[in-house]
Amino acid sequence: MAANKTHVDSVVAERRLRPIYDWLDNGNYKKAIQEADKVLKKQPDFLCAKVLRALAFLRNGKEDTCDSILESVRSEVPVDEPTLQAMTIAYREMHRFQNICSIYANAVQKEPNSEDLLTHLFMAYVRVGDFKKQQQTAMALYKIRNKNPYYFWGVMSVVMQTREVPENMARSVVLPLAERMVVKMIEQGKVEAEQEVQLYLMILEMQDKIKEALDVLNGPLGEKIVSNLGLVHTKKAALLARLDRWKEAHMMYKKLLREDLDRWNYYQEYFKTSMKLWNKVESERTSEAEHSREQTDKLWHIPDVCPKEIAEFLQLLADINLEQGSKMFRAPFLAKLELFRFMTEKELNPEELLGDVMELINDYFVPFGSKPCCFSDLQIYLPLVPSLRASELMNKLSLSYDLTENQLPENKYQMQRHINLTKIRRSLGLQENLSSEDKISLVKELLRRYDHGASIDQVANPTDFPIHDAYVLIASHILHEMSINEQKEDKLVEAAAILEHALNHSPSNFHFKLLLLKIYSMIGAGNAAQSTYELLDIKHMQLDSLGWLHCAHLSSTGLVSLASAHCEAALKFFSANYSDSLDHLTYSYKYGSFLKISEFVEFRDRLHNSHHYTRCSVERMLSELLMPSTHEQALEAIGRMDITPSDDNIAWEKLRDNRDLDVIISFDPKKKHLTPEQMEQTFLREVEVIKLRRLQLRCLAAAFDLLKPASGDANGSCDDLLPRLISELSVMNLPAFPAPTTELNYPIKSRTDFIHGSRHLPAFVRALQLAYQLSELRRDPQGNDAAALNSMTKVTEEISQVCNEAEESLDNDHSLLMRRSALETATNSFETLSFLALLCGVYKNLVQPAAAGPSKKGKKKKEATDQPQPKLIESLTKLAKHLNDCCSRLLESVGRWEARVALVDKLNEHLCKWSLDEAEESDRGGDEQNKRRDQMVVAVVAKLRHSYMTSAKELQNLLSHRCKHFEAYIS
Amino acid sequence: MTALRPFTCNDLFKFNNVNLDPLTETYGLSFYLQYLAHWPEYFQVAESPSGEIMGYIMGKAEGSGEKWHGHVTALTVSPDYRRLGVANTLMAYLEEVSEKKNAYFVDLFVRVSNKVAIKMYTELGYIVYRTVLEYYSGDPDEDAYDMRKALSRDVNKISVVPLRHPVRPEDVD
Repeated sequence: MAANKTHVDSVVAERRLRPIYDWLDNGNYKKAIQEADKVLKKQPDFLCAKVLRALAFLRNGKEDTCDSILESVRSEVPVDEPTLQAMTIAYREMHRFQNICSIYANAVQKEPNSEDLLTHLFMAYVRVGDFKKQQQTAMALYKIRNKNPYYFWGVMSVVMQTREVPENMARSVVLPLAERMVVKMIEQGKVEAEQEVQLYLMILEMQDKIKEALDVLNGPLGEKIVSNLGLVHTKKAALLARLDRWKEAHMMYKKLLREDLDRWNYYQEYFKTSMKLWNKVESERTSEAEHSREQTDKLWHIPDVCPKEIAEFLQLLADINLEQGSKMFRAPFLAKLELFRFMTEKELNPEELLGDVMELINDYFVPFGSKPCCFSDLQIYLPLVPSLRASELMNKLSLSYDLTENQLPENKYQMQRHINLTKIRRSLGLQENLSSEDKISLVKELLRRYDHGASIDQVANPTDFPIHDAYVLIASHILHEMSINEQKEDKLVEAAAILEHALNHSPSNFHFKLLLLKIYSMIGAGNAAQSTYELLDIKHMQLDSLGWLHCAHLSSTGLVSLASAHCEAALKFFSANYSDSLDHLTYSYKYGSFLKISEFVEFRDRLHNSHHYTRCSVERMLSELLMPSTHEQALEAIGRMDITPSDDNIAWEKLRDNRDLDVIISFDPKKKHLTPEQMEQTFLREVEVIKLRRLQLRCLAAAFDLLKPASGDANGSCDDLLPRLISELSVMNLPAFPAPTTELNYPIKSRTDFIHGSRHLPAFVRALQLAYQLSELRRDPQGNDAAALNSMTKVTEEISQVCNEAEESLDNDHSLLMRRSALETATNSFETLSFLALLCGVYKNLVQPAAAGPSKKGKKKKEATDQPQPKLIESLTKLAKHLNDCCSRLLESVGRWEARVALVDKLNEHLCKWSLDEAEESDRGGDEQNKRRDQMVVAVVAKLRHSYMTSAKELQNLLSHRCKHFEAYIS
Repeated sequence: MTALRPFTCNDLFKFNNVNLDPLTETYGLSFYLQYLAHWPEYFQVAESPSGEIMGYIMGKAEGSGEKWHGHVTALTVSPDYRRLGVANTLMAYLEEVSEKKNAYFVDLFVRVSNKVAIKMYTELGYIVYRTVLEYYSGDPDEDAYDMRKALSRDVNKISVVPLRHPVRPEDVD
């Protein structure tokens, strides 16, 4: 009866709550609050309704109200599912995961035998990573319900504790405990699931009990591992390897290769294990075994312990492969090259065993030269070819191409073969040293082949990239290289033109889009870059791995609000990830995928420590500070950011480089690819730039803190915070930006790279010093104001320099590359002026604390107690006037720049000409193609012009707002 | 020629040469991590000798009784590595895992307009089991084929007797 009544109650409750949930889901929080009020009127002690009301307040931006309601509910210790779930949602949204633990812990105290509550409590501990409590809760669960998963949650919770204790403790106490727990279950015959065996293996491996692990795999428990194919084999082999039982591991891979000739990872392991046997087994070798190698099928059963034997075995595989006829695999061919490469590294004279490397490459190229994968297969082996023999290799490979060099292909296979030859030629370095003229004719030839390719490559599959797209890629790589090596920016425009043209015909080809994005960024066409970026449809994970391609460069072209929006999108991703990733940990326990738990934890940290995340959050806040045009707005903006200037708050040494620096495809010689050292250098440099920017932000926040009344318990350190930060800023020493290369993935500098070492910092520092000096004077009105007055002069001088440089750069950009730096300088100057405008508000309020109400004519409303400081006030007004002048001068020069960019100026005229069409075109259709390319160039130039004008408009808009901002301090 | 290995979280940072293709959807993180947590053995990546990701497959096992089956959630191969049998290798792997799990069949959904994929699956032995109306939302919505292949446990091939009438997405179990 009672149970029945509860059921009726819960149905009624559910019906009453439904509308509140609906309003919450629809995002109508006011209605949700009203609805909750209605329900609570009828039933004032309805806890779940209270919590939903709190949640509605939270989502409506009233965290405090939400908090106090939740506190009151918490004190009543709810135990019903809907209330606790709703509270969990609210705490999650507030990122207060510890509170979720406490509400469930309280509930469990009330109902210690509830499986549901305990499960929720366990997952709550998982979210906060309290491994000990996890363990206790899991065991409590197992006690009331004898289910295996609960027991193994407990075991895994013990394993996780190794993360928090010293290594020796982990080995001597924690892991043995985990092992004993599992052994107990094994002895009782209770181990059921595959995941439980995997967890056991993991525990054994963590203790280096490899022999024991191997025994498990070979025993009855090993049979439980079924779903990971090949896992048992590879696992066994890996364990054997760890036991130094290389021979057994080696033999396993030979066996696996017999079953699958084309599985590349087996080859890799085969090589690895063989090399380990190299010197070891030789001595054990009996002459009998040596003898038996003569029969080929014996080769399967004998380990290969020297290059000669490997070569024999690979030959056996190659022979089997040849019998497959047209179904031949690629791996046996490449395996020989792999051996060649290894022997070369060890200086072991591979020619003696394997013959000429060019023959090996040719052996592969003849059957597979018409495959799209050919180049990427061969790429890593091409450096084996001595540079002096590169042309010889090309001649050899060309023999299998049954057309002469100038003949156009008749079918797709011929075309693919020609494309592979071209890529190999480039990778061998045969294109890089061509003369400028030869490079141009090469580009022309590639374009001729591209145009012709369209006629034979009627793509059957619209989802594939047309084969002949490759010609445009290589041509644009050459043009890109020329533009950097020879400083010929018209080559960039031409590259953009052919890429835009090809993209029209092959709209999915992201290689085109990535290159276009790079080119537009290089020449400061932010708006054009933006439209290309949109085509790439970059989202979620890619915001981190590919964000560097665009985010850092947008604000370089004055598109400040767009840049800020990009940062915001990335920030949303990062912060959502953090709470989501906690849920994924709970899934891993739920499904018993224990091996993934550490991986998930590391992944979460990797994302959380992404340097891009930090960059976006710092840049976003700085760009927020460019928006206010009154002191009140500035106060509000600073307040919103919740910066504690005394606290750096960023674990710099933990920052991770998540950039995908391989994303742009390249056929350049290996030596020209980005090296890990270069990647590291650019990363470290970026981190330093972010540090600098973060310091700027903290300085501004500290300057605003000068306005706050000194709190009673003010610790002395707070007073000299600003000077300390200023000196930190002044001594910052950034590593040099690594020299630019033609490498396509090389990150280009952004505007923030130019702040250090420029006039912007001295101007900023002087202005901050002034704020501090004024605050000193406020504390001690009788003090000497000479230092402050001197600072004002210095600020005036520095800012004049800043603006002069910007003006000069805007008036004298006679090339596209300079156009980018003109925009960068202008944007940086705008930023510095904006920071100074913010500080003007600080100055004014330091010299003249605002009276009761905010007043624009504060100057005349002095409080009686204040000392009049007419000299300071006068000088500050003068300073503001000077800043205003600088700002309007900059505004004017951006205007002049815009007018010049808008006209078809000399630069435009020069660029609009397709430099590649001067030579006579003999084949028909050539003229028409060139005409079309001419049009594409014109279209690209127009796109650039439009982009520059958009930047100019935005800058003008920003600067005129800034002028108004300054005006408020003049009158 | 491929190297198959389990997909790991770090692959999410470097799968761009596959996912930048507009026909491969980049999902929110939760989607990938859920699969990694629940069916790690069904999430495999095919790697080239130079270590590049050529393609990957995501799948799961679900259903009860005779409906216990393997499901292909996503299969994608980089445009630069097509027509090399990478997809076949990945599919064969998923089928084998499903065999080991004693599943009755493997199924997948495909846009009715995706002729290339349908042809490939047909060549791998899949049949159109039924049409699911307006399964893919878009403008306009598009129907899906539910394609199936029986595994050895389904001795009488009951799971692959095609349905004569199309079904609505909400009726798909």
